[in-house]
Amino acid sequence: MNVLEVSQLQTHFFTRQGVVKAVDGVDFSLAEGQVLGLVGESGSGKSVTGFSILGLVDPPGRVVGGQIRFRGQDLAGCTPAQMRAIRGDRIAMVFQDPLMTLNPVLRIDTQMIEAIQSHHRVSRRAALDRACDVLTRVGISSARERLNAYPHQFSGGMRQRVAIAIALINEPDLIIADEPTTALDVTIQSQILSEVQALTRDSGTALIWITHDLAVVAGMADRIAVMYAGRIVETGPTDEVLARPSHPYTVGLLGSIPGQGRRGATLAQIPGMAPNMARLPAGCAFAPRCGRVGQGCETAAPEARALWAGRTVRCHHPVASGPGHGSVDGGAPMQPSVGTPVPPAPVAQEGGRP
Amino acid sequence: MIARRSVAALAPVLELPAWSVWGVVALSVLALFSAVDAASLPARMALLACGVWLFFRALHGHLEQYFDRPAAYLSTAMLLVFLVLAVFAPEFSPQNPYDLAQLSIMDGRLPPGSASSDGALVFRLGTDEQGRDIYSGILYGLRVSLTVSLVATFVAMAIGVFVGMYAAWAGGRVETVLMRLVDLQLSFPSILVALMLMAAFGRGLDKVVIALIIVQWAYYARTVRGTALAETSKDYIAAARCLGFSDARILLRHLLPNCIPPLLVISTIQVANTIVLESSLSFLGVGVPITSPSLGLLIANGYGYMLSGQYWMSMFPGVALLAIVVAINLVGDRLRDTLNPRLKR
Amino acid sequence: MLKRMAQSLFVIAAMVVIVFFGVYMVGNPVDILISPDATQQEIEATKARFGLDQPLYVQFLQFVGNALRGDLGRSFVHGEDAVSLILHYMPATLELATLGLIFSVLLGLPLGVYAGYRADRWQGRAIMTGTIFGFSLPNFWVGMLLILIFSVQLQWLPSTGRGETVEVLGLHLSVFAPGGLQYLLLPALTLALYKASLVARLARAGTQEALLQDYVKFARAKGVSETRILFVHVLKNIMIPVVSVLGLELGSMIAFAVVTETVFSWPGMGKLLIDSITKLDRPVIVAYLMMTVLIFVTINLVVDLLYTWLDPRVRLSGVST
Repeated sequence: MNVLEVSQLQTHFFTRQGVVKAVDGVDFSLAEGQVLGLVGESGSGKSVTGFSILGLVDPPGRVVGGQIRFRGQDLAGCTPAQMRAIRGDRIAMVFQDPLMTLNPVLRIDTQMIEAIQSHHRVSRRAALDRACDVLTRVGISSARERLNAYPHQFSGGMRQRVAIAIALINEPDLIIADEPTTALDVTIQSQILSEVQALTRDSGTALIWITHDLAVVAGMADRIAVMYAGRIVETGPTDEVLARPSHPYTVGLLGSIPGQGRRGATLAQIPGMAPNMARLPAGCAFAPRCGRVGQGCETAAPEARALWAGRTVRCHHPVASGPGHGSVDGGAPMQPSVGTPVPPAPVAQEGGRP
Repeated sequence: MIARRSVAALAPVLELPAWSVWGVVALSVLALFSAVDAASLPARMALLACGVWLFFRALHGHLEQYFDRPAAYLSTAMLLVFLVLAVFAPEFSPQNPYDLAQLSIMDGRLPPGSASSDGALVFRLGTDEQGRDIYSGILYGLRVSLTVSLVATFVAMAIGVFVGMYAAWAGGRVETVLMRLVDLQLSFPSILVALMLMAAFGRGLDKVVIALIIVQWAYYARTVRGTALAETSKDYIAAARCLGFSDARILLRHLLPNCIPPLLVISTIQVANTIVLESSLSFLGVGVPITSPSLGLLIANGYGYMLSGQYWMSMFPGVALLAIVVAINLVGDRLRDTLNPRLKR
Repeated sequence: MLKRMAQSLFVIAAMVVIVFFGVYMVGNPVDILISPDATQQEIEATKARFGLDQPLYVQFLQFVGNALRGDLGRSFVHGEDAVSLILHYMPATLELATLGLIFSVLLGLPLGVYAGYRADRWQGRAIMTGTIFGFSLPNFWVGMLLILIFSVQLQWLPSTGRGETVEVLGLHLSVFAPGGLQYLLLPALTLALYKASLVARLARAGTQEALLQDYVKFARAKGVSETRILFVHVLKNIMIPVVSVLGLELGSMIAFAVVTETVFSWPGMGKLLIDSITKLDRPVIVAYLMMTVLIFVTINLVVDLLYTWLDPRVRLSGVST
């Protein structure tokens, strides 16, 4: 059975400026011990998806529809007490900035022990021992002394390791990591990446790694889901999505990774800006920026379609239409085909759009 | 709905230029002093109208938000009622409690609702030991309390604003010395300072006002200096300097208007605090003289009788005091929520 | 640290100067030292004794010299040395002020935290309106009301005076005495109400801000109970501003005790002061002023120390705020 099955998840924010559909019909599933990379730019709704699973969406936001089945149990229908029992114990979360997420006036041991004692009746001594163990596992030396310290006495990388340790402490079935390495130095980033990968593999914990950086999940995720404007536009096994991306947005993302083109060539980028989530266009949300926009794109939002086993895409004119087939337009998908001058018609149309 | 309609109706009035505000302010202060001596009815009416107009002008642009809560309607209305009662006390009270010729000791200590010995008046809230109508006493007492507090707050604010802005503008040693003085004064609770001053001055209405001014100015000075410091580093001041405006002009016409908003909230709440402080002083016997009692003094006078069951002499002035202070505080609270940019979500 | 001590000394020195010149300006300094109805002979004798016919700076030095020796004149009403008189009544006031402070925290803090938690619901609004009443009510009126309810109507607690005392560390305190506590309750509660309202407002604002922080969300993600989040995570964070305000409030409590002691006839420094003012017992007034300044300055210093200790970021990095 899948650890997590999310279907048609909808989380809306009811603000004074209107309803922001941060998450609008998200589907994905996760098997035991699998790693899913949830990729998208700022504002795409990926963090909100993570919070929605745990029921941590703050007002004025609310989960308004869909199902979240965790080991068969529908989380959306749980009482607050039931959710609280699951959080931290069966599903854990790691946040982006450990300086803000660890309480600055409480010691590390207090914060770790309460993670255990909120769910299991153990003595303080036993909890301390457990905390010590898990700190050592995440690579913090002399853990026993470190427990007495305050968060600000650690470096950024160490703090994040502490946060990961707290996530692992109750041996959860699923960990949701919301951009945990974004706030860290690049060198620490790769360190933590590989460590987390090893840790989850050892313990068989499923992992959702939320990030805006494709490169980060390229090495560690089993599956990738790409999000845009509150919807998942493409899913599939990592190797396949990277080798043969199907949605124009994914193509653009891959193409904009520096280092692809020749030395001296202009950096490729996806034209346009991220959409205003309060005023999404009718039809496909990516249409204003898409190089492959065609008929039907602006009027009807595409439904998720299975391309072949394990791969879905939400596009009227996807790039790859079958395993081993080339793209409809020709040309290797890895080239920055979207950034280079495209046929005038779509560009002019884009300019005329409000 | 009513709010929106009245806002629309008031709009042209609210658009009057800024200098008119200062003119009105000056007029009001003058009128206030004359009102203490029961000046003519038209003057007092003009004064009240100016006050109300000033209030709405200050809320210019925020009126709808201010009236967003039902409590705002209630408290503002209550405040208005009290103001009207206080300003027109001679007209509203059935008896002038300071005119000894009107009093009769035979009417002393009557419970609420009883009639006077000659049957001419009904003492709606009872009488005190000298036969004074409590209701009239409350109205006149309200007047004294409000006048003392408003004048003291106003003058203290003027002094504080002047000192604070000057300190922020001048900087350097002048600023340090002035701020040290301010800190020194602020490190002591106001009631102690007031007590000491009154112990030195003796009793008297003007002395109370002076003491209250001395107690309060430092608070305004510190607040205004903080605001002025923040504002002077902003671009529009630099722009004014570049245009070659004189210091005085920049201070008065550019800096001052921007320091006003936080002052509005603070001064409203300070009026309430001053009323409480003055009543505490009067209760202790070092406040206003017996010839023009404030609500605090009325409460003190009636205190002794309260334990023997004649509660009305202390209780009703007490309720009046509570009501006006609560009304002012509620209005001040609402003002703060409305004018505070940080809370806008 | 040193800077703070220097500042404190400056304040004391400034007060000494102000008091001296204030006294001198208000009237004949002889009046301050003698009873109003002394004979001409006595006046002359005092003048000579205190060197009042000497130049001003000599008088000032004498004043300071006497002050440093603890001699600030003699009370005419009681006949005793003013300083020792005040010291005699001080424990009662300190006891009242401390208990009042404790009550205000016990009352205000939980209410404020809960109000911050339920800020947009009726519970939060109701508590906020309650606090407005709390700090609108004048001190003496609250006292009167409490006496009316608890002493006159219900007859649960005594209305005036101080009960038995027990000697603790050389001081006579009634809080630990079996019959003494009941006399303390109403005055302490009266004192506490105003501060409790302010504490509640402060706590509410702090809680509202704290609840928006990421560490609250993270704690929820760990599955920590809401109660623990409120009273461990949030509370510890808002304690710092609350304590720094509170420490200074002890001094203000002592000041407000003047009114409370009058209402309840509580035999403390405050009542002594009021009596002295009405009876024009000037030495006591001057002595009270100087003692109060001393107390305030000491309290400010202690609060600074406490603040450094409470905020681990300040303490451990060795940087003073």
